[in-house]
Amino acid sequence: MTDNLQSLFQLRIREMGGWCEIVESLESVCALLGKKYAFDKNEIVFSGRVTKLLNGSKLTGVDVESIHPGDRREILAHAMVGITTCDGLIAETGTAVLVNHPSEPRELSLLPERHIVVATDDQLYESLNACLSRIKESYLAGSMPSLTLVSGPSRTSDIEKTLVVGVHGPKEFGVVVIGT
Amino acid sequence: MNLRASQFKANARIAAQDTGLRSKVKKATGTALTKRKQTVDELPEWESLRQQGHDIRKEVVDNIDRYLRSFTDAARLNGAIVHHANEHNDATKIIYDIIRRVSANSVVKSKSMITEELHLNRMLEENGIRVIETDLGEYIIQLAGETPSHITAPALHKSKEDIARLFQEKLNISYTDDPAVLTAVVRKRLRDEFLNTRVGISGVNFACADTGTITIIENEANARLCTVLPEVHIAVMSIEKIIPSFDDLSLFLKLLSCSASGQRMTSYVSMINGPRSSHNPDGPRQLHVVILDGGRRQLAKHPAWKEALYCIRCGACLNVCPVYQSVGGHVYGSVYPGPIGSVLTPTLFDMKEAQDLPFASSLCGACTDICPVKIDLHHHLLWERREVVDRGYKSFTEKIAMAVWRWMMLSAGRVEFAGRLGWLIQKVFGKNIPAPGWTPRRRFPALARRSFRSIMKREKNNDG
Ligand code: SF4
Repeated sequence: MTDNLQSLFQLRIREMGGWCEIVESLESVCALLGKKYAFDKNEIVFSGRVTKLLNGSKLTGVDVESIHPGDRREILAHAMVGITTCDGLIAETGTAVLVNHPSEPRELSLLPERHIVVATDDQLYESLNACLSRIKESYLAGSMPSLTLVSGPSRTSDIEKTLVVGVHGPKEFGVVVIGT
Repeated sequence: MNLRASQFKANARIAAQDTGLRSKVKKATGTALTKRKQTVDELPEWESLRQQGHDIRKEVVDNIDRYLRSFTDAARLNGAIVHHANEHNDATKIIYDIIRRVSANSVVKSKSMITEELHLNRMLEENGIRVIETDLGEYIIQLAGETPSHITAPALHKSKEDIARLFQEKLNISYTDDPAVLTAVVRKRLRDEFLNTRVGISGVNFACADTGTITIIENEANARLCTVLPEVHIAVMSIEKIIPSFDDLSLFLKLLSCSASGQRMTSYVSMINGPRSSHNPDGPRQLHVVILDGGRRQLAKHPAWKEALYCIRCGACLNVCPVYQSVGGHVYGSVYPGPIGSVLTPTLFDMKEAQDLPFASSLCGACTDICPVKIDLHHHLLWERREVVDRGYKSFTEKIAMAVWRWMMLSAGRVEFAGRLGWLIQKVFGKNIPAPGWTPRRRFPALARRSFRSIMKREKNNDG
């Protein structure tokens, strides 16, 4: 079942112009991203939730919370990679569902040239409906934070219906799923 | 061209001869339809999704006051400042006042049909506020000083060469018609505007009555930038954008994405549940939701015409309409062109002014078949035609002609006689009987000597 969902998710995200890699260990996440993005340390920014998920494995880059809030926007706007977590992956549409957590500013998935999501395979849902109900339930007591659904890189077909990737947002969107 | 709905016939006559325009519109709508079909064909449950969509939209429109109250309460609980505007002018004034209060002199704006309906840009610019359209299509249109010709693809009537020349002239760049390069130019120019502008204006695709969530769908990320970076976010919507529950979102996102762009899901969906809270690192400090009635509550009471309020503005009926494909969107002289525009403009705005629009259809029914919320568009066009006639907007000659036609058609003998008379006239004076308003653009059909009826009768007698 999970295998099927994984391959469906990979198919859908590719259709939308994104990519998805499935790795087996926390270390391989860092190795994969390190190999893919040989940028200066300061050009890669991740959130505290990513560090927590990676549980001690060293990722090259800076934690967004270590940046002075006054400089954050400027730094993110010039960053090459922004790395976040997510709260659900949707197989039927190839979507990552991002909840606006306090330690994960929305600008982190929006301003850098590339947006990478690190997730675990137990976050995979078949349908968007299932994932959204789950999120809604978990906030029944208080008010729900804002959500962002990301299903691909920023794109447009406004000029003669020709697809152009990378309009105002990230030019690349990728998901690394940690499998068991 | 005087782009008013009352000038539709004259403008359509000109546009129909513009082969350049027609090939651009045909190509763009054709591509959109192919992509949509590919996606929908892979969804076996599509028909049942459409029916669900229809039923839910009906439920909302039938109980619009209750849902409006519930959405307003929920959004306020989330910390949004909700404003209700009865008239278009009320809405523009509310928006202008919000911008003045924070002493901003420019706004970044994402695509929204309701702000087009409000003529918001014109009003703000007249009052010294610079409006920066950030959706690529809208940016092109704003640069050209035009209005959108399609509700989801505003610059659909422009070729890449048109856009290349426009950018060359207005932005002072060297000529290039490479869409990727043109797009990169806009990205570069708008980045700083996003980072530094203090007010962002967006539309709303769906507003959830139970959670107060505002949902905005897009592909470019400009709406995200307009709603995350500025200090103040103003979301503008009309009352019928409400859906009952957050749980209905996945259904409507599917219906809208597939129908509008043939995607299972657009690149981005923002579900906004209030302004920045004390523990959030970013997001606007103020979230205003401006809700326009603009005649919709009245329309919601009409037993038939209320259906037009179910529309989720996907644009599919425009793409599939043979009339729209031939003349494009501008000639309709309305913010909303195509079949839904022809249905909505007379009933929501002005029936007298827009009396020709219900006739801008071959009644083929392609719009009804494609509509993701199953609005019976072509029947609406027919009912509105009757209303136009009942209100006496048609010319005296047309009334007489129709009365004679009716009188003739009500008796088999008279039809028979008229047919023979016509045949005789054609025999003596030639095939082209001049009929004003008809024959200048159509050939008069050749009439048979004997009618089908009389031939049948004779055959039967012979057999017997
Ligand atoms: S009437 Fe139906 S097909 Fe036309 S824009 Fe509205 S929802 Fe789409």
